[in-house]
Amino acid sequence: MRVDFRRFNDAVVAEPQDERLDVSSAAGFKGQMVDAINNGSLRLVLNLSKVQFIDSSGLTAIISTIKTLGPEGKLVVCGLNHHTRNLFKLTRLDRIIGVFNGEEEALKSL
Amino acid sequence: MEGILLSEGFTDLILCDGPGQAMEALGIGGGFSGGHRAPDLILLDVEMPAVNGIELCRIIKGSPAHRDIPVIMVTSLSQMEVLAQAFEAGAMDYITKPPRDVELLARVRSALALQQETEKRKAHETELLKLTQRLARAHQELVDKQQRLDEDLRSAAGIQKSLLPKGLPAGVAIPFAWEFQPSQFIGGDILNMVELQPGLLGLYIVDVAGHGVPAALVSVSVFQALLPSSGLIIQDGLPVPPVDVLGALDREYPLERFEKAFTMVYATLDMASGKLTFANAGHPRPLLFRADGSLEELDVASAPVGAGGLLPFSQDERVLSPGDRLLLFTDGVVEQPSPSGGGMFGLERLIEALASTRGLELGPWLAKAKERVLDFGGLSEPPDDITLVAIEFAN
Repeated sequence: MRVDFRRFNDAVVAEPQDERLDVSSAAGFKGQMVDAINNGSLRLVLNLSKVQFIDSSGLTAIISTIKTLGPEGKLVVCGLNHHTRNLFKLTRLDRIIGVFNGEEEALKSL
Repeated sequence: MEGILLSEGFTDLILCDGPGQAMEALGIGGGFSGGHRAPDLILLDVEMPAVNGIELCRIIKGSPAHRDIPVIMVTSLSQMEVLAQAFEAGAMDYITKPPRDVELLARVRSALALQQETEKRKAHETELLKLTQRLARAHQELVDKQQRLDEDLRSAAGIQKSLLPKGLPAGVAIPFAWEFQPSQFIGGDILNMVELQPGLLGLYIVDVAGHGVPAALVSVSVFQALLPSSGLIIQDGLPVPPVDVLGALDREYPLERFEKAFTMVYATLDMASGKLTFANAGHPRPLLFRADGSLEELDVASAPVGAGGLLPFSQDERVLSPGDRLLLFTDGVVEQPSPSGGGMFGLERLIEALASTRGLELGPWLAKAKERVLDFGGLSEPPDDITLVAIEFAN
């Protein structure tokens, strides 16, 4: 799994490049997110525009990222499709992570 | 000859008078008595008493310890006709008598050079052979390891299967059915129904994220934690409310412990009143097929177990009437992919399949639904465990 990182002032946009965030790509995704956080990126936008499908392993990786961020950090997501939006709803993650349509909107919220 | 060789620095010479002495010096037909290492080159006169040079050459070439020593025959012009026999016996070259020093030295040097080359090549070949053997060994080790891994996976899959309920759990007097289809990798789905106290049932379905032995091991651990004797679902003889069961598991299984989270639904059912109490940790919503034909998605949800209290858990209640069916299922059901790339099986198809076969008994009803899911996936094995559990309320 390749994750592209782009910096905007003190915020960072992370954009996974694979269509699936699942059992085969979750570990790679999480590793890169944790590295970014350890390198000081504490305000993150997770742009999931390219991700069509997230399974429970992918979801675990996202939760793990939030826990790594801790109370000083902030993570918001954007670019959800029907399936991924439903998953965030089902797991109530949409209540603890801000969900936005576009990247610009998500960046503004940080 | 001795003089010519000595003058050119070939000082380590053994001179043998006749075949008997030569064989003794070489240690053929007895111990190696000469006290010398095997010679680099043998110069052999064709004409010798008792055993002639060609026969001795044949004997030398027939001895495994000596066959690689180059032999040069020394012969007079009149014996040219026997050279064919000499080459046949294994000689590599010949010198005519009386030997001229230039010729003798040239032949001896080229024989020694050739011998050196041969030895080098042999050393290379030995090295190559060793490498090949090492590769073969390494390959065999990998094959063995893979075999052990496959066996481990098979036993892990066997353990996962052994956790499935066998028949109707003790104290359960209502129709209860389940279908389980393991994935191509071993997954982490488990389910169970237990009697918490007379007239009160506990029912759960768990899906540990990921595949393989780690997921299966976590399943086993969770299964044990959810046994009535473990003190998690029954405390001091009293049933623990579903919301607190999820909370206790969330504390017991933080994500950091096994790097695994799991989704689950836990529900209790009061057989006298029909009261169903349920809590959901990140799991697909249970479906309630009412006897009157209506359908309800039981929408109470939270983050998966392992998120570490990221979200508080909550629970909700419904009252079941006789004939109402409660269905729990894992995401492997709705996320079963179509081989032609036509998306996933999806919730709509699942509901349609179940609603249209509502007249079937509980067991066949689930079996039919599983069949539809597997048919949708075509011939390939499902990528995730497919698990369906249902009860039908009756009092």
